[in-house]
Amino acid sequence: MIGQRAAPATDRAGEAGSGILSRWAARIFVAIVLLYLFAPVVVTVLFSFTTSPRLSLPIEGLTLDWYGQAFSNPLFMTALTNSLWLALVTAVVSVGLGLPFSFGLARLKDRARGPLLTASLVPAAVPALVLGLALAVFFTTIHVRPGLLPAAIGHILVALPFVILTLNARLETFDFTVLEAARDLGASPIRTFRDITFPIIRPSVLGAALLAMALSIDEFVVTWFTIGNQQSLPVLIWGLLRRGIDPAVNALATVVLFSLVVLVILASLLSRRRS
Amino acid sequence: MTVRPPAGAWRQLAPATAFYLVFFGIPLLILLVLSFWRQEGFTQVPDATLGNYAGGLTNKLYVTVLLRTILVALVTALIVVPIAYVMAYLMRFRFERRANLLLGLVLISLFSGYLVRIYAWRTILGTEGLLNTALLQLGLIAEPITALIFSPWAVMITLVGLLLPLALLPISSSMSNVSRDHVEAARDLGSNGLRLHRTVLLPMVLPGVGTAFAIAFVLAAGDFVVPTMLGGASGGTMIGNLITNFFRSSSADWPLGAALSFVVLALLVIVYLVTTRLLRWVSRR
Amino acid sequence: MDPRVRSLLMARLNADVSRRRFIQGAAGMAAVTVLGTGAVSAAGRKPAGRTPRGAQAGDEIGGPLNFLGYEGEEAPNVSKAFLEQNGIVMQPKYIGAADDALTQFQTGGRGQMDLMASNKDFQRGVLDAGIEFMAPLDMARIPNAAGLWPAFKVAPWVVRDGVQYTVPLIWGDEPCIYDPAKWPDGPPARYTDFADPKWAGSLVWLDDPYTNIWLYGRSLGYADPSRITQAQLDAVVEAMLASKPNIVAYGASLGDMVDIMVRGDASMGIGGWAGQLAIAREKGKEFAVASPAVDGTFYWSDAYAMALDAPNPANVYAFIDFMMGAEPNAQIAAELGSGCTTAPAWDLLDPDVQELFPYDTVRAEDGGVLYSQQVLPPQQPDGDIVNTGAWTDAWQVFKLS
Repeated sequence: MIGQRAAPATDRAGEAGSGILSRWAARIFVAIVLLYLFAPVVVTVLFSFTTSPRLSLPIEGLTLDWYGQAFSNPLFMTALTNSLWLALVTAVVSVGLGLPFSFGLARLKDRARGPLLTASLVPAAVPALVLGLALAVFFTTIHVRPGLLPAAIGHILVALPFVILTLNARLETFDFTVLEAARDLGASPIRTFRDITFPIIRPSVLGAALLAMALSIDEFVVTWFTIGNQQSLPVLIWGLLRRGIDPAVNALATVVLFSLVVLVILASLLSRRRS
Repeated sequence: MTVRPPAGAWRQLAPATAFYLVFFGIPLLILLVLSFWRQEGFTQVPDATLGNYAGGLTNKLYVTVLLRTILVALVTALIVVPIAYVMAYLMRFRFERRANLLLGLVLISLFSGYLVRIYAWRTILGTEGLLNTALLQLGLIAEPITALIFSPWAVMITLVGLLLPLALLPISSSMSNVSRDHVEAARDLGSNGLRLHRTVLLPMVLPGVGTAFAIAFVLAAGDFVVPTMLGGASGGTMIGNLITNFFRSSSADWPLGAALSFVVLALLVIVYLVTTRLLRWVSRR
Repeated sequence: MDPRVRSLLMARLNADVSRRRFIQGAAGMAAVTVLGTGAVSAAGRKPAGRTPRGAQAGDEIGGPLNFLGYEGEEAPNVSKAFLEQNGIVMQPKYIGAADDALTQFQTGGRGQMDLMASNKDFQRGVLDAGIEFMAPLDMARIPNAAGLWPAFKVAPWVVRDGVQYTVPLIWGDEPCIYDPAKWPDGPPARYTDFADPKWAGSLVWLDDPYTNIWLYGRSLGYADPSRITQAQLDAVVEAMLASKPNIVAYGASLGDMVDIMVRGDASMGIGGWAGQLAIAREKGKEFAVASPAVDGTFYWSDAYAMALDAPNPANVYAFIDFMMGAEPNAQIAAELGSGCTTAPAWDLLDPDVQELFPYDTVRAEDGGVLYSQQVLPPQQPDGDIVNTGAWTDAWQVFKLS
């Protein structure tokens, strides 16, 4: 077995090369991929601090001016408030719908569970464009004007599959016998949930909620079709991007980026914890 | 796991199911019905015509855009999935200890803002952008490469960057269910290199790879933001842009837009089915 | 550059290209709210017999002044002292597309809107269609308007049946903007010349059907490119397609256009604006503007109007009269990189600002080219003449081909 470990592992390129080459090839590959993924991120953050208004090299100096400009844009506060509201509503409602659904799923026989789980993931398989259009037409048909509420519904639709996926993964290994025992001992369903169930699943629930928030804050396409004249952060950024170079947009984006990153890190840390 | 009487389960499934039916099922249904109506002036008139489908599919321009979109999406997915596969493999079997960190980094790049990442590629790929400046200074080229920006290449390069993390997740998830012992046993038995992957590993992660392909393909085909920002005059129209235009009031034709949406959905399903069959065939031989 | 001036320039630069369009739909962003032709939509919503709020109070100067128009044209810097002196509080709301104002008016805005600012083609269309929107003006209350150039006194978007509805504020043209380092001779003599392979990889157009179709129509020699038949429209698209291989990208707005040029991805923009020069200069690039020698270009003009049933008419009149004064008119023209509309204002301009636009056109007694020129096609087909819908369709076909 030790011999196996030391043997050069094969990679897609073909037969095993010498150990060191393959090892370095692997490292370079991963490094290039990460570079590729992070290049736009680095560009965005970097040019939110440079003095050049043209978003190109050479870098002459650093400044926080763009952040000041971004924050003094009156639309920014509106967009920020709206995005936060949307994120909160999305998180609460999608967990509120997704948690009972996941419980229900966990209790079904395998034959019903598989298809139903797949079915709940279908909205994620439909292009956001079609989702947005369908919702826009739907709201027009029932005479509801575009705005924050239709946008919220769109966000929930986008987030729900992922919330269900996350919670379902957790509940698959949930020990329901504990609940039965509590029942037998006379505890009401509410008390059972509050005192037993929720503390156990709380990390996953929070993780799913944070995931829903992140999805909502970054959501653009479906929002664009349903939000009408209102602003959300992505909608605002889109409008600004259509106007030409403005490093203030980079500043705005960097702020959004960091909040999303924080949310995602928290979400994954929480999802993995088991209390 | 104890199975409780399903009756209680239905009550718990009901709210989310109702939400899906009302806000997903019905809107899609309405869109489908709309695709059989007619556009007259500024309103849509109820009808039962296949005219939109016929008109859409026989219009040379629309078909060209549709085919071009499928091609771009296919090429993008075919680039993304193998890279994601290799990345997932390396993360699981080579850099095990840092697998979580790497996955975390990938996730972070995923959530760093959809719009802004796209726009940042303009700065990277532009004629006076970072890439050209770097290549010029390194002496690798004499003139800036102008074909990198505002072209189908720009669209593909950006899409690959956006979709790679998304494709990585399902493959990574599948790979984590594959035990090292299994792989090592196969190696002991003489399977090596490409053969190892094709006959041993790939069949085991096939669901993940299939999902990754579906995600990459569907998202690439349906995107209209990337072509708008980076496509320019030569790569700027994919089917997403075309459909969106039919819902703008100045050249509105909702039924046609709806019909095209369903054509696209149908095509996506077909391509997905074909590719997964293909994958299964490859991994069985 | 003074940051306030810069932000005003940016506002204009970044106005959605659709400001020049008539039919766009509310705010452009909402892809779905379809707008009917003005007279039809929401007609039933206005309660009958409504009297404007404060019909008596509006006769005195002071209090709120509700502005709805293009950002910058409420002239916050220029009018600051005036507003303070008279106790008027400007309450601005900005529009992207010209018909946003009409939408708002018809969906509950009537009786709450005072001062408006929008472009001549839109205003002309409204007057042509007889839509209830702008109030007839009592020019006795705007004495400074006597200084307007002749063209602005008789233009069809200003006066109708002897009644005046608008007061022009600024005007300009849409030349080509280019990088003189790359093209020392500027644009060619005709727009159709852009089909020459030497322009490959250099052109950036505005993503606007009306600008481009009109300019190429002019290049094909049509007397009035805004009124053409379907066959002529097809010929225009053919001509545009000949130039298409040389187009790098379409700018979503004037600002986006200059962005693409500043980054070096294109070097000749069609349908530009003198104000773009200032922005480019700030980003370290020196560009120039010029129009093709034979084809020329078209002109635009933005004017103030008063909404019907405005609650504060006294403030509206006072403000418009103030902006027609020599100094304010000159200042706003300089700030917005446009031509001024009154003769006394012109005298106050710096020589290089005076040079920016061909003022002979507006000094002409018969109104010159501003009067006669119309860029937008009619809303409804007129015999053989095709309408805006046909133009936008043609533009889609062009972009797809």
